[in-house]
Amino acid sequence: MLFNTTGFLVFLLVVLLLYYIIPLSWKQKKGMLLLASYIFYGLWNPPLIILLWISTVVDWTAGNKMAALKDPKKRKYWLLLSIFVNLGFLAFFKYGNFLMENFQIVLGLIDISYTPPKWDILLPMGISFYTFQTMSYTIDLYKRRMQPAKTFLDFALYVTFFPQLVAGPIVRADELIPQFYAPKKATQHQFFTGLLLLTIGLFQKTVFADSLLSGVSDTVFGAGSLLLPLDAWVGVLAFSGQIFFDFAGYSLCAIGIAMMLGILLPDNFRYPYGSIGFSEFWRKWHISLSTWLRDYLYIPLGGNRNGFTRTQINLMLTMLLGGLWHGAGWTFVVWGFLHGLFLTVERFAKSTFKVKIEGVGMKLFLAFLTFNCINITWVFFRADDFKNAIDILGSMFFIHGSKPVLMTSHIVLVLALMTLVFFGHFAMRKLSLVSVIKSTPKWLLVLAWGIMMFGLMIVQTTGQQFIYFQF
Amino acid sequence: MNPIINLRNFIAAFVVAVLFLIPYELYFKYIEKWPASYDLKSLDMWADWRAKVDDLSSDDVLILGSSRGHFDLNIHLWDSITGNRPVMLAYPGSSPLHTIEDVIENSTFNGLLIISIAPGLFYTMKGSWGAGRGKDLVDHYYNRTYAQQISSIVYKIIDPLFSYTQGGDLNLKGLIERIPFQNRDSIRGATIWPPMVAMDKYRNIRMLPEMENDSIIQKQQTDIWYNPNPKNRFADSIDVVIGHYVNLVERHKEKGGRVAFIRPPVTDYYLETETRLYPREKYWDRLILESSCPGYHFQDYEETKYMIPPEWSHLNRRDADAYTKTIIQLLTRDQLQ
Repeated sequence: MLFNTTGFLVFLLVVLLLYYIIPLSWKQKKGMLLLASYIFYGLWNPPLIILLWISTVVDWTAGNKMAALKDPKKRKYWLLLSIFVNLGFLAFFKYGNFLMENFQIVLGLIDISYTPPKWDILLPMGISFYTFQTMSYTIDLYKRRMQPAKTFLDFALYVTFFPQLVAGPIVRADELIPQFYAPKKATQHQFFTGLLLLTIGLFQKTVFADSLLSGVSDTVFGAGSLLLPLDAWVGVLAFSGQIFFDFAGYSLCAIGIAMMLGILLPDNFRYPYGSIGFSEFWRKWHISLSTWLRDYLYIPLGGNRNGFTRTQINLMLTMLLGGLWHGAGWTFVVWGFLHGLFLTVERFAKSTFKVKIEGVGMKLFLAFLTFNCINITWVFFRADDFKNAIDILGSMFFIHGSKPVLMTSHIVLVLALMTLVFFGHFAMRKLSLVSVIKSTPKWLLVLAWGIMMFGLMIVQTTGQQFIYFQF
Repeated sequence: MNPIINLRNFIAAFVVAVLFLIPYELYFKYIEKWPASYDLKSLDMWADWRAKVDDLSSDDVLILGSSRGHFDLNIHLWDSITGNRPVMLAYPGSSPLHTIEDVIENSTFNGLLIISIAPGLFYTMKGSWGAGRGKDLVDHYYNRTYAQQISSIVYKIIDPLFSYTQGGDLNLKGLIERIPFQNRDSIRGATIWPPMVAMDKYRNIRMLPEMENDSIIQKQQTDIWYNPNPKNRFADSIDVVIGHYVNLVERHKEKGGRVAFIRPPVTDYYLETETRLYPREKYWDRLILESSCPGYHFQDYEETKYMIPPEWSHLNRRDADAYTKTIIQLLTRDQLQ
């Protein structure tokens, strides 16, 4: 189910009604939320709920065993089983065809001709999110960082909680499961702040991402030829905005809906396009994934404990795998590589040039530089293949491009919106959205809220899927 | 300043939204004259009616084709005359290539199939724009999720209440394209469609009085239809196209079904270009001959040959009713119905 559909509004109303109006015990309410979460997922494709159940049962069993057992070897086997099942699903459903294609290429290099069967594999919505979430539970139990969930219901709800099931935030077990132990009820302030966040998230998704930006980026990336630099840059900026509003919008909806139920989810975005440098960007962009990769990949690889070179190798490996997490294609690996490269260059520059960054002008310049480097990386993320990416980059940097494809109204709107986004993010880079809401005069907040609701009423999108569902 | 957000704030915001929405709706309803109607381009409504095809009997009628078949046949009038309301699966701007294939190959329907022909869309190869639109319909029918179906049910309650909810024409994306900035030479501006018809829950269409009577609106529409350099993009493949339709028709007949082709009235620009690009003897006559199906061409009947669609391509309400009656009489005469 998609948040940006009329069907979801009805679904949410029913859930809220059952949660707040019907006199149910807390256990019954959790059962209702679990059932609602399965319905939420199953309305997309019912048989794929079985994958969720398998992940849930395997990780619940593995978690309990690891908590009870003392023998390190046996505990490791249970951990490996959990990782094998979760990554196995991911490998088969997400990377099956990609692996076979590359296997074919490798065989071709040694003159062995092999044509693998083309598997018609349906990618289960949000599989990358819930497998990472549930793996964090078993890994944390293996490391004895936490206690296992008290009941199967609490754990199953942790794996399946519908607001964040399909596109995050990827919530750690110790952040969410303890919230299920005691009855939860949103205060009036929490409930309506949640509703406001849901409105903002939907507005970002439907008005900005779908109505203003997606068509422009689709036109530019689908043009199939070299373009005028202006058109290429506007197309890339449009995608830059689209992916932010799409994904940050989803996260806000998730956080808002959970808040309406009295459950708190962590922030996932903090004005990332105002970042000064890539390290800061990754502290503000998809925070729950970057911290997951840090804690379960980068640090286990050795982190920054073994000298500069080894640190950079660990960093690059983490970013390459982070790229691959987003999509089964080499363009995503290159996207990860570029981020790894920029991070390495930034660290090198920081350790070599020890310059203190002071003054708004200097900060703004560096933020602008960072923003544009990020835009360049998005080319590989959005492009269908390398030829497409090279064409767009060639067009952006004045190589041969001559063809205009965009209407003037689109150019003006994208440039205006993305200028606002950049300066807005820069101005608010030290703030959270909730703190901005708190400090906004009430009349302005109400007016802005009303305008966003009006935007949602007139937007009339046909429930376009969120980009991150495919990950 | 009180930092607490409460129910009163929400209600106030909702009131603000409604205060913006009221003039917005009134503008489209009274200034631009859009009807409060179901969305003409709704894929979900098409899919809902496609889902009923398997339940039809051999006495039932199914209409496929593009906008001419959709706009020119009044299925309620049909029902009042014959006691049987046809299922309307014609869809604007689409070739029926994929939809005919789907109904014949994937359904149990063995009744009367009426296929309406607009030559530029009907004589289409797979992969073309018109065929792609038909394929979108079929794909949507098979691929839509339960979640989409629920949303469609809810949306169908809201959609006919307002004028501004007219799908692609008045959505925010479409309105943004209307902003009158000067475009660069090779960039074509957005096409601004005037309101033309209203659709009900049966997908029955009626032309709006404004389109029937207002020459300015008619001119707006004919400016959209007019193409200074029309081409028959499918000329080389006509053998393949007709062969494909003939095969499909044969399969429908094997199931016990009947097929009739109709060619609804056009005038002026469309009459001239379609006669020139799709000469009757090479296209229509050949299709009727090779398929061995009855075909009702508007130029063959006194009742229809002088009909003048206000915007060259679709009939006004009075003529659509007359055209519907004529087609029913012809089908009855030929014992197809």
